[in-house]
Amino acid sequence: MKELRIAAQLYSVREYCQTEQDVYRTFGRIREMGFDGVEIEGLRDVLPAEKAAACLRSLGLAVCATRARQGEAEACPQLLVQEALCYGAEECGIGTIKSLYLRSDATVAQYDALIAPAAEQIRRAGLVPAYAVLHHDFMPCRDILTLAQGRQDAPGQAWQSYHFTHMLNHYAPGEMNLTLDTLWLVQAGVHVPDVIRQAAGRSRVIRFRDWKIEIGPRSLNHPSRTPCEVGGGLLDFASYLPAIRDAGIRWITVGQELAARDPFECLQLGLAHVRSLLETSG
Amino acid sequence: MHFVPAAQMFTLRQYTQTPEGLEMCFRRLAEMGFPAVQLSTIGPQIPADFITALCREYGLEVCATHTPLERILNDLPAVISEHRAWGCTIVGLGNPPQRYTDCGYPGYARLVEDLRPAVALLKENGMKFAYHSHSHEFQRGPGGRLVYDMLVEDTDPDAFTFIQDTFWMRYAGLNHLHYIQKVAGRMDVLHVKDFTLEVDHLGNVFGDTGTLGEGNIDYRPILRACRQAGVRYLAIEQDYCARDPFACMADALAWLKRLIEENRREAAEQEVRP
Repeated sequence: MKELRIAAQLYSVREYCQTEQDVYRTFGRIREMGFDGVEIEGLRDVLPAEKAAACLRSLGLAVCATRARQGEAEACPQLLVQEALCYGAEECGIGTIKSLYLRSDATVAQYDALIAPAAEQIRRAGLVPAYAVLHHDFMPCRDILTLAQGRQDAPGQAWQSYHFTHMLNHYAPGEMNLTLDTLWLVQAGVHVPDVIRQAAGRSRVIRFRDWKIEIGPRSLNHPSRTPCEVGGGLLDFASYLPAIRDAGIRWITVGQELAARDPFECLQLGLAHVRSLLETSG
Repeated sequence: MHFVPAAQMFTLRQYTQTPEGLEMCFRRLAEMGFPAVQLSTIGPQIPADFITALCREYGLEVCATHTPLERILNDLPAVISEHRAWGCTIVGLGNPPQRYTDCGYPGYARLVEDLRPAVALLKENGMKFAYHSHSHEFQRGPGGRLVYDMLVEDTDPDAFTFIQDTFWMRYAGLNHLHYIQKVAGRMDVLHVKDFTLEVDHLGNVFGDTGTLGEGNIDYRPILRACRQAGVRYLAIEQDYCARDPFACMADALAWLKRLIEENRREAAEQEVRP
């Protein structure tokens, strides 16, 4: 079994990726911390992929994945392919479904048709398209008739996680990977290890993000879930590791949505936490 | 039956403020097949002996209550007497007042101290206190210690018990199975509800409580953990009902009964197989 490698989510240090020199410095700091690689996001307007890739190679940092903004895959798939090839990434991110397509079987089919050309281009280039799984992929279908049929066919759980289940059924392993993100999964209220196991063979990268509970003098019933560095919050990443290994995932990316302190310090803490978990779990 | 389904009356709170409304609720819950209820948000003017009479008439067991903290601290002998009449040994607290929770970890520590005499008196009377948790008990205090860990570790294990809530544990992103184990032997009642995803008028997706069986919580591992931890009552609750709350309760009960039966068969098979 291949050893799990750890990458830094560039989104976490986005304020330090605003100029070409900033990006080089950021890459250097990530390497010094001891990360194996990076997850590319949001660099296109700052630094051409060729230059960024050259810097990463000189530092010995791999690119585990590229992430696309919503709608990019449909609009400019060739650009995404070129970048992914340039970076040497195995996966090429294609973004996520817009909520308006989650209304019925028919609208989901429209989304499938919309991304099909981009997905095909990515595959022809020897890459695997990677769909970013968000919490909305675990909603029930919003079409009343489809919902009613689902409840009749399989009372209870079967018709939840509508689009996630659709992705598993519609694409064979290797046709479309699923990029899981712990923060989106807990927002969906699903059992994270179960979802990881369902994505076995279809997932090479999992994004670790964390949150904690913080209270102010406000409503008790909706306490604030504040993003924090990995390991600083409530998510039980140790319990995810067996499922991650069983699913054949190769990369854990570490980052944070928001940083209450220096974001590089948060990345460092997150890396240390994941390393410690991997060492403990054997 | 290992697990006993109960109706958490908070779900029907709009109907439980008058004697007539409460009677209607008890009658309909009994007709649905509920064997037990948890008393919560009952109209304060409804006499306790009226509730006693309703329980007897409709054959409903009172598995636990949510009792206002002010009564627990200042009117406990009367609370004990009422619970005795109802045949209920679990005096629960639904939510601490803001004068404690607004102060974070120190506030909860103060709550534990304020409750000590009451918990001791309940113990003397063969009863238990039950703390119903949400998500805010998972904030950290000095040295990174969770409030919840303090509640578990700094209290009398024989008399300070817990009512966990499946939705709020999910809302916080916790490993609920871990926390069920943590309170093994100290949790008689689990609040069971579901976690459904809704869309607001701006198209934002958010999680909310839903009818049991219609959301994203897989209860099979939860019931296995609860069986091992000694949980007895599964109190069905739904904070907000988009449709008739009685219909929600009926659907939830039917779903839960199927799951309880599945859990029972699984446990029986495991006993046969070494």
